[in-house]
Amino acid sequence: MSSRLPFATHLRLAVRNLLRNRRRTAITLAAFVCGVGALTFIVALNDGWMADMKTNFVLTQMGHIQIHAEGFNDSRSIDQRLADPAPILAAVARQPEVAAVTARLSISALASVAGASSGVDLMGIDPENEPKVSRLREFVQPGGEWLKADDRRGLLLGAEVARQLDLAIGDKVVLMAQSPGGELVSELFRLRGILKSGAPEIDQGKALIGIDSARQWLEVEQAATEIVIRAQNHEAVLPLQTALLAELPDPNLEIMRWSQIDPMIEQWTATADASTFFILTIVIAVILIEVLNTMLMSMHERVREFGLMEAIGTGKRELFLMLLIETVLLVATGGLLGYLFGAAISLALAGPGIDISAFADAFAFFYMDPVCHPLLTLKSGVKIVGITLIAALIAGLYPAWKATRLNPVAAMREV
Amino acid sequence: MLWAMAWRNLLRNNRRSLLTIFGIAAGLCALLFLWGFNDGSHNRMMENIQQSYLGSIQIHKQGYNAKPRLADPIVQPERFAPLFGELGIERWTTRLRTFALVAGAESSLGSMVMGIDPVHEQATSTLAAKLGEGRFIRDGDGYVCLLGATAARNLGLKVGDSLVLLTQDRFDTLAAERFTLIGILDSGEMGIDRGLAVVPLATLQTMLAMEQRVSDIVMLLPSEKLEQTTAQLKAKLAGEGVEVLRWYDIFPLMKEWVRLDNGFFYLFMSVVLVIIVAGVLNTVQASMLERVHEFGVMMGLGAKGSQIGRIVLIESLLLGLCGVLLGTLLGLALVAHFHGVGIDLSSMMDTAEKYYIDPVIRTEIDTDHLLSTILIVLLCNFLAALWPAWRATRLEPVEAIRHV
Amino acid sequence: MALIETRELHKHYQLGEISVAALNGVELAIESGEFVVLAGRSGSGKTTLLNLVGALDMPDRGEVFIRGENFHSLSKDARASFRLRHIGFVFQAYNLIRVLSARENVAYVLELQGVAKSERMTLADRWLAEVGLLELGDRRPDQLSGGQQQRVAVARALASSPAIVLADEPTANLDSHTGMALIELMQHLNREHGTTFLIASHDPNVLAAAGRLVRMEDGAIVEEERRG
Repeated sequence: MSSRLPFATHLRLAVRNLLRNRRRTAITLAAFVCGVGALTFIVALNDGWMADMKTNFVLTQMGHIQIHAEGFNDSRSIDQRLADPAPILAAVARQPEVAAVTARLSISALASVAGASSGVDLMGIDPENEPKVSRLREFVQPGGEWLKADDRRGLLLGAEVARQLDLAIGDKVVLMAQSPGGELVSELFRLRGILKSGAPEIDQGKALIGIDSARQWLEVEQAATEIVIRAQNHEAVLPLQTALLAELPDPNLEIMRWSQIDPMIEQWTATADASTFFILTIVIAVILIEVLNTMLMSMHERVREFGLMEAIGTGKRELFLMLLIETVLLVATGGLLGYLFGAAISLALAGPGIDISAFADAFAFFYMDPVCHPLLTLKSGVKIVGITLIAALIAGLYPAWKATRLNPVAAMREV
Repeated sequence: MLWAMAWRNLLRNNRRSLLTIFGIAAGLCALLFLWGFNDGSHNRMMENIQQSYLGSIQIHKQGYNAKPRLADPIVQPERFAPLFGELGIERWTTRLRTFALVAGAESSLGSMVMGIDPVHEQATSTLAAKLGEGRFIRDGDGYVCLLGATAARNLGLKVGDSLVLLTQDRFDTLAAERFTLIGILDSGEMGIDRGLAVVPLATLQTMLAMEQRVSDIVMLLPSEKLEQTTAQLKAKLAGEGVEVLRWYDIFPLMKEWVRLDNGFFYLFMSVVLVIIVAGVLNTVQASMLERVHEFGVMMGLGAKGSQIGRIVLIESLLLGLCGVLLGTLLGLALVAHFHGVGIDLSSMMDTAEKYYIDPVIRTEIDTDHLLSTILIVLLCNFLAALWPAWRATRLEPVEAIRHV
Repeated sequence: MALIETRELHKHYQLGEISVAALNGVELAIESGEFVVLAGRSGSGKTTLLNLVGALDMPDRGEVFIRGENFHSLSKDARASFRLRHIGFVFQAYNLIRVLSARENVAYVLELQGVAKSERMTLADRWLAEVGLLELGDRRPDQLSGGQQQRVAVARALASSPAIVLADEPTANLDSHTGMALIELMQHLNREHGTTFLIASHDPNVLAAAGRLVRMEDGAIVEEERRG
């Protein structure tokens, strides 16, 4: 678009014109700043929620990466187990991105007392290393205690299971399972503690015993079904997985990321993001319409002026450009300021977070804390600013185009 | 004459009036559409979970939900049939629940076992629709079993294979029976696929020495009837020692989540309201500015400041009403259209069925959301006009008359 | 006491840093039924004096009495009521409310006074007839000529039966023929109904029609002339 005036002049004109009706410009800008600011903040809340969810999910019991015998993830059968986990543990411990690692032995079992029984996910854990990888130990309710290394009969149960079986600390529980040989084995354990995490897969079905105790009871020597690894942070997970795949090229092993084992959180995030994106688009469409309205109104008022300008020699292209820049300037300024405003609030609240414990129940399930920490991400920032700028352009095109369709003489006669 | 003046002023400046009305209408229409999206997906979710196996209302022996025990059954469930008929409850069935170890050839799994009434279950839940392979349970079946797909796979079982269910009966005696796998349930829901075994009710009752006892009466109702029917049931069953629980009493998570999601939605809504307010403010300001001289003349004639302010308010009220009317019509039209057509988000959501979400969203709006949104837009419209109206009352006649 | 009496009226305006004295101690007394013209160039203070007499504005110093009442300490709203009761206005231009018909414009002041709807319209018609515009009662201002608009303004000014009609340059936007007709109308109404007229103008036709001519310059009365 060739223009007879330099861009800087257009810019200056646009600014002057916007400042002419100070109040209207101020109101529109204010609406923008509030609107885009609020959107930024809401999206930051959403992003923070998702990030927290991921962290909580991983640290509850999943870990960042797990190593199993090939096929275990699908079958969940003790037949697919790692007979000798020691060299694997050593190889893992050598990786710099690893924060902690532990071994587990998992099997499906039935927990019974007189009069009732309940299916449980039994997990034999290493009482010393498990707390370094997951938060299981933190879930032990006051009055109970974590398993001790030498406790052969100690048992921890999820709160719901304990309640359904009417158990108190110290009670006896019979665990029944099918050992790898095919035999049904049962054993008596004592309840040492109750686990309450808010996550149903723990509260409603978990049973923990010492891994040595499990190995002995199920006669699997030193085997483990899972090796669970906590990485330094989320970003380290992918490189760590790659490094491990290189370090342990054994085809009988599967080395999986948390999101590969249980895609639930990723899918949940995708769903929430889809929903949010949809709503965001509609809201920005509304903003666009309001801007369009304001610009149309304002331009109609200046019809005489446009006619005058054209009459004295301003080309249609010039006029178009000038008006387009005016709208884009207004919207872009408002949008950017709004984003900065929203970002500032998000950053300010990122530390203390926002307490939404009025909805307490729903949270625990979605691995949320009752305190939500807004998080600014580049991806979301680009989305918001990008959509706003595109909206600005679209909103500016129509009024600018309309102005160029005027007949100067008729325009000047308008009152 | 205030109303006549206000109305005529709007007509006089009809480009500006139309733009403003359209602005308000667009905002309200967007809000109603978003609510439609929101309510549509939420309502479907809540419906799905009720149909999946939870039912709308469950009746158990008092205390069963907190501590499910075989020792707490409902005896003679048929005696309630006339009452259900009287209350217009058409879809209901009975179930017996317990935990068992499901043993395949080489491994075993803990699982919930549910004995169902083949005749009535199909009307009450969509379990039969989730059948992946094989066939559903029929009236007259004996020792047959359905398993979730993941459980079957983990146990290495195919349709036609044998399995053993191990559990404790009513007298705490070990009960073990051999069953034939006749069908596999593939729902996508973890609770079903990995942890549910379904057998005929009569068979389970025999196995557990329960005779005619059941653990749950489950009924499915349209959502409008839920609260009323619950109240009626509670009243009529008062002395019977049973608990009448709505689905969200048993599984409060989903309702809480809907509340949370709506909370987020209100935040978005406030953004739209701010934009609408700004639009109205700008218009009223612009129109006021044009009329300053005229206002001055009116004040000169003896009109009080409050009377001038009232004109500004009435004009904005009229604009608001028109905008709201148009917006409501457009919004409802959109909601109706997308209710039929549906919004397909399945490209963005993979296996959302896990969470009872339908990836094709059919918009529908709850009446209280519709009314509250309309009211709030009207209120915002009014508030937006307050400041210009107040400024109008503060006009000084001399300056106003001098205004061009 | 005279109908209108001003004592030591002072008024100044602030233009940025500069203070402009619009009225410098004006003393004027007007009897009921008079037809007074304030003459002077723009800036002489005649409009300011008119505004003060009409309770549109407040003096810095001095007082204005109308029928013995001093509105000095009244609130803005009270002054509005005062104007409604005692004063009719005719401005230079754009006197009428754009969206109301001529009849409705005249009826407007009656509505402000609380006159019942049916009576309002009848009275409005009466006054329109007095200014010779009864057949044009349904027309909107944009359908009336300048002169016709001013006549409607006059009808409206008189409709509330005020003691005084104040007119600020009423003929300034009219051609001389129409302007003359307007002034003759005002004179007629003055004689017929005894309404006092105070008109600010520099139109020679208006000056010629004055019963009493008051010349102003630099915020003070410099000359008075009584005519027949």
